Amino acid sequence: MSARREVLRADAVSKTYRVSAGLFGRRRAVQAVRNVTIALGESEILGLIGESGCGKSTLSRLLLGLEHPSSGEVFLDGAPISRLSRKGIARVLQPVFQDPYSSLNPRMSVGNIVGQAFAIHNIAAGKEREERVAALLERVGLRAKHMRSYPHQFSGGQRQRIGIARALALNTKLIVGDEPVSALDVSIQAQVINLLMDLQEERGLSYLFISHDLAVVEHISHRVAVMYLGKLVELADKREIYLRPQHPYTEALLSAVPVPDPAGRGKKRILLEGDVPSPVNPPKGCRFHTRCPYAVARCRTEEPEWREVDTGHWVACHLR
Amino acid sequence: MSAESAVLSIDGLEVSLPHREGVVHAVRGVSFEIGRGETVCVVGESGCGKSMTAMAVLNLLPRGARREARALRWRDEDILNAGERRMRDLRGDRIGMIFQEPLTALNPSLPIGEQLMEVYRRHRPAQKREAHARALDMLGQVGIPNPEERLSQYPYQLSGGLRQRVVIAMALMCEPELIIADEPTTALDVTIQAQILRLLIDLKDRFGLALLLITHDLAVASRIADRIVVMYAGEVVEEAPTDAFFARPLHPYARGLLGCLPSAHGGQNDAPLQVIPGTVPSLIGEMNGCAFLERCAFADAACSGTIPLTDFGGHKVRCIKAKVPGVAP
Repeated sequence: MSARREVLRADAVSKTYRVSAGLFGRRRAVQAVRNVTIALGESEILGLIGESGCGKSTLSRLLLGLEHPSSGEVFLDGAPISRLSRKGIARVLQPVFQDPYSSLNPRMSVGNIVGQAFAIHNIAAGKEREERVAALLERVGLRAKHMRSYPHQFSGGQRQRIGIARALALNTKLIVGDEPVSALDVSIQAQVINLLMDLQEERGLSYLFISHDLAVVEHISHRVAVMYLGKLVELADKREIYLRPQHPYTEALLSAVPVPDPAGRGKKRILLEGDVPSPVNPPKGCRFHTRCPYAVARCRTEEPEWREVDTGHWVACHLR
Repeated sequence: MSAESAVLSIDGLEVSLPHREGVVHAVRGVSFEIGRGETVCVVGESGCGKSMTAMAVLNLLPRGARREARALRWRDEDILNAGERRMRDLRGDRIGMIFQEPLTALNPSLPIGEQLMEVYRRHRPAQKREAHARALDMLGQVGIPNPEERLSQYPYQLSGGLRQRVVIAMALMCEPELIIADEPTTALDVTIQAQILRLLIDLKDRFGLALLLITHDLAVASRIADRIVVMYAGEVVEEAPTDAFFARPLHPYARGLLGCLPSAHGGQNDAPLQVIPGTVPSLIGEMNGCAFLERCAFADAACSGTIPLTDFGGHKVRCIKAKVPGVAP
């Protein structure tokens, strides 16, 4: 772990939802996030990867203070987030969402979407607000005149730029992005990734960058965390994760990423068998044991501890 | 490729759609062929016309769309002027189809076994028992565990990966010669995507299938394709054997696309990603000159004329600036 000051921290957080199975089914508990401890440092980009249903979006909602953990606590700059006001959180911590189509109000002009934060927080008004909105739009690669346009007049990439401008309107220090570039075409995705990285450097922002795309996470992050079925399985510096993955799941994920090179056809891949088990009824012991090529008896009964196997390299696996 | 060995040949395909601001020219003069047992990947970004091309071949275009072509052939048969009846016979029988979202391709209110059998019995004079045996066999072929049990289950009871396997089994029911698959792995998780890709590669070899795969993912295309067709703004801008394409993409758009992919190689890449500036041009109305002109670093006045698709010994490119070493056009 680097010596960065912690700005956002989840401390042993769990989140359990009650779901009903069918019309007459019994209500059951789904533990979407289980005992996760993770900290985001100042000016750090922390990537979070995992497949659908692994709990990465739930974790992001907990970190944004949009939902309260069933147990554990989230700290924003050292203060328990549950004691902070909505507005207090929003001044420094902002989300960027995946879908640039559903995350912008279609009835609001772009000027209002981006400038709304100023209105709510009574910061700038009138001419000044307009100038600040114009500056933000220009910073994210749009034009000041776009203020008077509406979301439907923009392409997906431009909408995501609007979403980023909105997130930066206040004195934002932290951005939690849940798949912020996943809905974009690759040529547009590259533009938005570069914009996010430039902004991070320029303003010393911290990002929690959630994605299922390992290549994108590798490109943008300083550190990377891997989630499986509600739990963290590995966390380390980017280079460590991609060069020396310790958890069999991380190893398989990396091996599954197709590379745009036909020479990779002969490459031996670790192909995981079967599907991700249901989070309603997760496997006992290590949650990954049902798909793990190396599982031994102990993995089926005993849950592995979250251990630091090397400086700053955390893994939950009995075999490491 | 010689014409007689092609299972599908598309020649000068045009698709236009009405729009309140004018006519959208979604597919503009697309030509390519698929040989027996060959896998052709059509790659490109949203709106490039790749799905429209596939839909036009199947005569499944949205209402109001206009389809024109110099020729559209299934083997030696003209399917441009074939009736809907003939097309219905071809679809699901000689030509299998796999779509992106397995949940919408399946009927939510029927057990999957019945859906599989229905496809078979639509095209074959088969008894229920034979169709049942065939469905069971196909579920096994696509790697579904306990197929007998699965036959009576409904789509909602299956995971995304299993559903896509069912859709693939359905496409295989009548032993097609060609499968058209539109983004078959896009909606799936990485580890499941790898399984489905492996399955498709395996099946096409096992059954000697020709495959037309539509994808935005160059990495997927590089794993499975024999030939790559790159589309941009409704046109084919490059076509080449897979190895030749990835060794030396010729069109500035194709080069840009490969350049802006972050690569997963040991966490070493910190440089900014290459970008293709700007956005795709509007497809409304007539377009003159190169469609990529406004985003291209090499463009000059000559690029606003008509740009033909030029064949450099099997590697075709629609660009007058492309540098092809040692080969004269």
